[in-house]
Amino acid sequence: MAERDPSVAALSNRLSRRQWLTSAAALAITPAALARPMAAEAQSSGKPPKPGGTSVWAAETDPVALNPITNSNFSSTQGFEHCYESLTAFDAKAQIVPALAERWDTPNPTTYVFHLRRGVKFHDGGEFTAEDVKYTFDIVLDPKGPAFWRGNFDQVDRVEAVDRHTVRFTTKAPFPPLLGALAILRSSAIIPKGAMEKLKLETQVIGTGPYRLVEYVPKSHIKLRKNPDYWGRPLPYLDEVTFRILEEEDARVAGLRAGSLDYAFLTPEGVQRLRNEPRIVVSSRPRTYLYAFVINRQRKPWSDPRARQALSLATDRQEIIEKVFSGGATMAGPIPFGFGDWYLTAEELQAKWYRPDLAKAKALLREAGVPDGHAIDLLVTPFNQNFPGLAVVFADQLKRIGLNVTIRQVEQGVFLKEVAPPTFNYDIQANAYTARHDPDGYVYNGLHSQTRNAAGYSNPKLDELLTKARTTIDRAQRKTMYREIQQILLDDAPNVWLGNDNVTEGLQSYVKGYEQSPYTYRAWGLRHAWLDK
Amino acid sequence: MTDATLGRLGRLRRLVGRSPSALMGIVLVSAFFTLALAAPLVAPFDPTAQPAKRLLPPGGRHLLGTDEFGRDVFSRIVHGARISLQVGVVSVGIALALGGTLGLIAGYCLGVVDTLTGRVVDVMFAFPSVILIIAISGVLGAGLSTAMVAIGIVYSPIFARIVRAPTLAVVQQPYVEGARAIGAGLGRVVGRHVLPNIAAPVIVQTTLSFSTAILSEATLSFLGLGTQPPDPSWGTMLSGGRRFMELAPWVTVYPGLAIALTVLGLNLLGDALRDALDPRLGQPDT
Amino acid sequence: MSRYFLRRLGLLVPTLLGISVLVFVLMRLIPGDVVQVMLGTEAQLGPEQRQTLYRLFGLDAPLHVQYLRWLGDLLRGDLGVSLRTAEPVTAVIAGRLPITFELAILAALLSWVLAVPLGVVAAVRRHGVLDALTHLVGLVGLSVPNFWLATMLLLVTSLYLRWQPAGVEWMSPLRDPLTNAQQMLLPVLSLSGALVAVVMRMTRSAMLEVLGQDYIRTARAKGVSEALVLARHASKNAAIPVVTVMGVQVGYLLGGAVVVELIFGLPGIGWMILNGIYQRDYPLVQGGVLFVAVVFVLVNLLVDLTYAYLDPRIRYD
Repeated sequence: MAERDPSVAALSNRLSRRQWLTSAAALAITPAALARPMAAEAQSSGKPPKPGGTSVWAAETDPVALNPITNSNFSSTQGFEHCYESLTAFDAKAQIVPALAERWDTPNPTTYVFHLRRGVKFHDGGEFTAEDVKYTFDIVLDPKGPAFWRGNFDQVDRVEAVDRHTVRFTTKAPFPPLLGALAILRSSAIIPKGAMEKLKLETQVIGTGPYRLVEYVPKSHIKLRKNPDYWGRPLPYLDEVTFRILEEEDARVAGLRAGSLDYAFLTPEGVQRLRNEPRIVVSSRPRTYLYAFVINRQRKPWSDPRARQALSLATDRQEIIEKVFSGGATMAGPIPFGFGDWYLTAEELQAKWYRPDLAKAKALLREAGVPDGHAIDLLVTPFNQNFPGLAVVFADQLKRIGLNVTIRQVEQGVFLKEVAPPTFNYDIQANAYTARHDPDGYVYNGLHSQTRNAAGYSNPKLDELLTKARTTIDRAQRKTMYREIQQILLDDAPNVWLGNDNVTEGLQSYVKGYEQSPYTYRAWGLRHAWLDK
Repeated sequence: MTDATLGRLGRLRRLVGRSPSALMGIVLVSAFFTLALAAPLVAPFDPTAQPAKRLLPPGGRHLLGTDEFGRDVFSRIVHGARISLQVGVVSVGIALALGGTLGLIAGYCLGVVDTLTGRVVDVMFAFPSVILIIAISGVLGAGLSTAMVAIGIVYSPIFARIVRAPTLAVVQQPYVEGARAIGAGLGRVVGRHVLPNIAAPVIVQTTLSFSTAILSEATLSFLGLGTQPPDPSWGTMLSGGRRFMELAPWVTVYPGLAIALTVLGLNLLGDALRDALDPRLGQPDT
Repeated sequence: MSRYFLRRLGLLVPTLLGISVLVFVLMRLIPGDVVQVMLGTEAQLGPEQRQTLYRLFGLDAPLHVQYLRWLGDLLRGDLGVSLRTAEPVTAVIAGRLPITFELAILAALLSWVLAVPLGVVAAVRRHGVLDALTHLVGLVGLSVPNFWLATMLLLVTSLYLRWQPAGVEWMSPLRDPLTNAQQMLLPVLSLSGALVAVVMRMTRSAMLEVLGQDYIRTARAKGVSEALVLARHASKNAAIPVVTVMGVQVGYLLGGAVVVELIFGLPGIGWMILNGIYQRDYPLVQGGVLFVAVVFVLVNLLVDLTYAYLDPRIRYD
C-alpha cells in the first residue's frame, strides 16, 4: 500500500477563495491586500521556464547553525532546506511527494520499505545509498544522541539497509505520521555516512539537494549555487541564489523597492508600505504558525480547569488578530486553520469558549476561588515581534474580568530557562508552534501527560486518545479522533489557543514559478523559480 | 570657597542672561520636568488603556493620535516623561553615589585602595558599555528598575575619575593634612574641603550623563530590555512604533521629538554650566 | 618616556585579567544556557540527550575549571571555538574586524570633519547667535537615539531616493570602493551623529581656553590677523579633542555600534557579541569583549603618547 494520501493536505487547497477573502476582510489596515492578485496567478506566465541567472532573496531570520540533525529549529531549517533532502518531501501544497525514495510500500502496518532513487550524488560526488540513510537514523534514534526532533521518530524501532537501494523502517506500533516526519526536514535530512565525525556540519553542508552551499556568513548571507548533478534536473532554474539575512523589515522593504531584492518575507505593515509599487507582487495565505498562551497548570489556581476556561472566555481573539496581526491571522483551535481538514471551523470554536463572555468568565473565576484582582505573571520574549503585542492586548482583556496582569518581558535565553521543565516559572506565557507535519505534532508533545512539557497537565482520557490517534492508520478514524481531541482540549483549556498568522511574501514581478508554502519553507518554491527578464 | 561658588552662580546668572542656548536649555528641561510632575493632570487618558481604534491620526479626541493598540499617544508621552526622566535621575544618582564614593575613597586613602579602585575603573572603562549594560540587565532580570541599576553601574567609573583627582589634590594640601593630623574625620574633611572643589565638574557631568542615560534606556528598549510593556517610556514608544514609521508616523515622531528636546535641553544646560563653572575657560569674553 | 610606556603596558595585565573574570562571571550569571537556547521550546529531547550536549560543550565541568581552561588556552593565543557554529573565535573576530574598523574609523573621521569647524566657530563667536546655532546643529546627532536616526535615514533614502545599499554582503573598500562607500554611508552617518556633539564640545572648550591665553592676546595685539591666529593655533588644538574622543569613544565605536550594525545588517564585532549573549555562546562573547578591551587599552595608550607630541608641555616621566 503506497500511502500517497498525505497526513497533511494542502492549506490552500482546502481554503476556498471566499474563505480567504473573509479572513482578508479583517485587514483593517491593509485593504490593499485585497486588491492583490493571488500569487499562483500572478507568478505563472504560461511561458516555458528560462534557466539561468542569479538572484538575491531576503531571509528574515539567521539560521545560526546548519547542522540538520542537531539544529532543526525553524530558522535553521529555513537555512539548510535547499541543500538537504529526506526520503519524502512536501510540495508547495504540503502534499507528500517522493524525494530520495522513489516509492515505498508498507507490507504490514508497522513496516515501511523505501526504494531509494538511484544515481543520486551528494555534493561531494559520493553516491547516495541505503548506508547513508541508516547512518543518519542511527544518530537520530540514539536515545542519548543530540537529535533535535528525535520525538518525531519515537515510534520508530529500527532502520535497516536491506540492500544498497532499499531501506526498511520498523515501528513499534502503526505510525502514520512517519512519512510527514521525514518530509518536514526536522532531524530527518539525510547526511552522508561519517559526516557527523568528518565535517563541521554547523557551517559545512554536504547534501543531495538542488543547491550547494557556497558560504554561510552568520547574520550576513547564505550563498547557494546550483547543483549541476541534481537528480531533479532541469530543476533548479536559477544558477546562483544568495539569501541576504535581513531581520529588519525596513531593510527588506527598501531592498524590494530599490530592486536589489527579488524576494522578501513581509508583515502586514510591509504589504501596506509596498501597495503602490507596481513591480512588486505580494501574496499571502495562512500558514502553520500557531500562536497560543500556555497556562501553567501546575500552579494554583490554574490547576483548576474552570479558571483556565475563564481565561479562554475572556480572550477576544478577533481583537488580538486586528491589533497584533493587523488582521493578517485567522482564529484557530489546537490545530491551525487550514491545516489539511483536521482543524475545527470558526463555528465549532465559537461554540466552545471562543465567543467572549465576560460575565460567565467572572462566574467561573469565582467558582474556582480566584479572588478579584488576582495577580498574573505573564511571561513573554520579544524574540518574535508579535509576542509583546499579544501580551499587551491579552493583559488588557484579562483586566476586564478583574485579573491583574503584570507583563514580564525577558530576553529569549531567560525565557527559555523560565519555561523549561521542571522550572515552569510563569502563570501564562506567550508561545507559538512552528511547522508540524501531522496533527499529532500540535497536540501530543506538551499535552500528553507523559511528555516533558506537559507542565502538570494530565487527562487520562486524552492520553488514551492521543496514543490511539497516532497509531491508527485509517484516515477517517484518525480525523474523528483528532476532532474529539481538540474538543477535549478546548474544554480543558490547558492553553488559550489563538490562531495562525499568514505567510506573506513580496516578489519582483519578473520572478516566475515560485510557489508559496504553508510552512514558510522556500525549498520547493525556489527550485521552481526562474527569472523572466 | 563659598564666596567662589557664589561668584560662579552669579556668573551663571549673567551667562543665562546673555546666552540664548543656555536659556533654551533651562526652559526645555524645566518644561519637561513640570510635564512629568503634572502628568496625571495633563494626560487626558490612562496611558496603558486601549480606549480607541488603532492608529488614529492626530486630531479630535486624540491630540497626537493613537498607537497600534489604540492607546492615546499624547497621554503616553506625558506619562513617558515620568519614566524617562526617572531613568535619568535614578541611574545618574546611582552612578554618582557609587562612582563618587569610589573616587573619594581612592583619592583620600591612596595606596592599595587607590590602586585597586583604579584597576576596577580601568576594567569597567575598557568593557564595551552597551554590552555591559545589556549583560548586567540580563543578570538582574529585565525591567525598568534593573535597567536603571545597570545604567548606573556602567556610568559610575566616569564619576569615580572626576572625583578622584580633585580629592587627591585637596587632601595633599598642607592645611588639610594639618586638619587630618589633629584628628578631623573623613566626613569633616570631605564636607569642608573636598566637596566644594569637586562640585563644578560633577554638576556638569551629571547633566550630561542624565541625557545619555535617557538614550541608553531607549537603546535597551529597542533591544527589548528596558521598560516593561505596557508602561510607556519614550524609548519603548520609539521602538514599538518603528514598524509603523511609514504608515503612522505620529506614533514615533512625537516621542522622538520629546527625547530629542529633553536631551538637547540637558546638553545645552550642561554646556552652559560648564562655561559658568569651569575656571579654566578664562574670563567671559569682553 | 619608555619607563612610563612599560608601566602602562604592565597595567594591561591586571586590567585584562579583570575583564576576563568579569565577562566570564557575567555570562554565567545570565539566566539560561547555550543548550536551552539551542533547543528552544519545541525540541523534544530527554534529559540524557541534554546531558550529552552539555558534555559536548564542556559545560559539565566545575566553573573554576572552565575558567582556568579558557584562560590557559587564552595564554596560548587560542580564544576557543564558538559553541554554535564550531568556528574558532579568532577566525570569527578576524572576519568581522574589517567592517567594525571601517565603521569606526570613518565615523570618527566624519565627526571630526563636521565638528571641528563647528567647535571653532562656536568658540570664536561665543554667546552669539552663531554659537547657539552651531550648538544646536552639533547637538542634534546626540539628541536622538542612534537606532532612531538609522531607521529614519533608511526610510527616507528608500522612500524618496529609491536607494538601497548595493551588494549582498559587505564589500571591502580595497576591492570595490564605490560599492563600499554606498554601503557604509548611512551606517557611518548614524554612528557619527553622537560623536559630532562630543568632538564639537571638546573643540569649543579647547579653543576657548587657548583664546584666553596670553600669547594669543599678544599675537592679536601685534596685529596678526584673526584667521592666521585661528589657523595656527586651531590646527593643533583641534587635534587634541579628536584624539581624546578617539580614546574615550573607541569602546562606543567598537562595541556600541551594535544597534547600527543590526539595523543595516552589517555583521560587525558589536553585533557578534550581542548575538553571542543571546545565544549564550560563551567563548564568542568572552573572546569578543576581551578583544575590544585590548583595542581600547592600546588606543588609549596611543592617545596618551600623541598628547605628548601635540602638546610639548605634557611629559610622562
